[in-house]
Amino acid sequence: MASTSQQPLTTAEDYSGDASVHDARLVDAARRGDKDAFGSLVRRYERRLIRVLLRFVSDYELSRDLAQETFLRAYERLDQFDPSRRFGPWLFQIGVNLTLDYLRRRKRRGRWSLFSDSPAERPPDPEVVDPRQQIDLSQEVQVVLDRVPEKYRSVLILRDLEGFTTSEIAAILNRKEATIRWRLAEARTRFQALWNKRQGNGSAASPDAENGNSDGGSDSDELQAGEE
Amino acid sequence: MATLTADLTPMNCRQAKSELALWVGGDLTESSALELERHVAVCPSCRTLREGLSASHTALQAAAAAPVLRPAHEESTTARREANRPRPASDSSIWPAVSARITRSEQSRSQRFNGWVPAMAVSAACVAILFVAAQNATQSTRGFRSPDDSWQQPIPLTPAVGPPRISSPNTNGIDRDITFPQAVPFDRPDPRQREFQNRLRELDREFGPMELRFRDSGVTFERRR
Repeated sequence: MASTSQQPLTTAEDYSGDASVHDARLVDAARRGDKDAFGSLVRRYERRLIRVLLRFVSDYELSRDLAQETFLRAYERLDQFDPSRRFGPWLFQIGVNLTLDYLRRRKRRGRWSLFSDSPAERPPDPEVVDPRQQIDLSQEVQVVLDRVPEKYRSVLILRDLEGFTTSEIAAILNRKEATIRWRLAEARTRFQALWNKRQGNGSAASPDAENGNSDGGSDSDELQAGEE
Repeated sequence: MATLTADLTPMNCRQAKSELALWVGGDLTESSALELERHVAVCPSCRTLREGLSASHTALQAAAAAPVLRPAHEESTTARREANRPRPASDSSIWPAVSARITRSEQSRSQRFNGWVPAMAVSAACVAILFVAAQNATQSTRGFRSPDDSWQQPIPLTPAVGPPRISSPNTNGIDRDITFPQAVPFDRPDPRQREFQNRLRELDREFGPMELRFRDSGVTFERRR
């Protein structure tokens, strides 16, 4: 059977039924101008949000800044929140979108910095283990993850590193669940190919997954997801 | 053997590859997993892929359980940046900072609004002044240049001084006085004086000798006695 059983996907404090009801009450109070109610929501979700965003940006201070920005935007958009939905996925949708936008901007700036005098800012070749550093497993995973195209990496982070369900990921990324499942399969396959190559075990790599470096990726996933 | 051959068609391997990637994380339904097991049992390449996917998934699981670390290539830039600012306690809530930003955001929004109020008020006052001026100009023009009998219509005084006055009995057919929109004090030269004179001549031609009378309420044309 699977090497890992289905892990508990959400912590009780975040997503239990009672918490959802409690969230709805807090959101309602916050919409009527009760700032303390919003403060309770921030305290409830901040640790999880920072942790998730940290998976994307790998910089603790930056993830805290992005989480602040996420809560600020959520507060400003409370009137747009549909009370029939759960607050958690809506909040994470804002946070993940904000973070992906930030990473895209940084990547565009990074293209210019390739011509600058700061070679330290360039990412290393993932297929060559950096001999100067004793990188532990988590860091190696992160380096390989950084080479997976964004739309697959996002799903992989949310599912395999943060344990969201595919339906929650569909809500966070605003896609159909079938699309998320197809992307998840593709993401794991691409990660496996890059991972095995980096570990010097190219024999198990799937030939299709080696084109995983093109960040644009294939847009055929919507089509294929529809076939499921 | 026919079944074995059918199971190993490339199409099925492609499907198995996708399902293996879901199965490795426990994301496959039980019935699909059983079907996949049957395929993998007879397909060596899919067995190899399953081993590879299991290994990489185990690495992901280990990373998920470990505290999140920065990748090595970001250490240098992050370290440079952190040298310039103190790192807060990792477990401190961000709510005080968020709350302060919300307050600042609301204040700046209200300041922006308050800044608009005087500007809007001044603009509205200017528009009102222009509108009133345009109205007066139109009425004045109508008063002076009305072609036929419009001059006979009562023109309200500003400020109002009551109902239109009936002329004195000796006006002989001209039964209404004309008053102008604004009482013009003639104790100093007025640019409209020439137009008054012109209008007076027109009325003279039409109705006989007319004269200007200066009253408290304004200027009237009356038949000369």
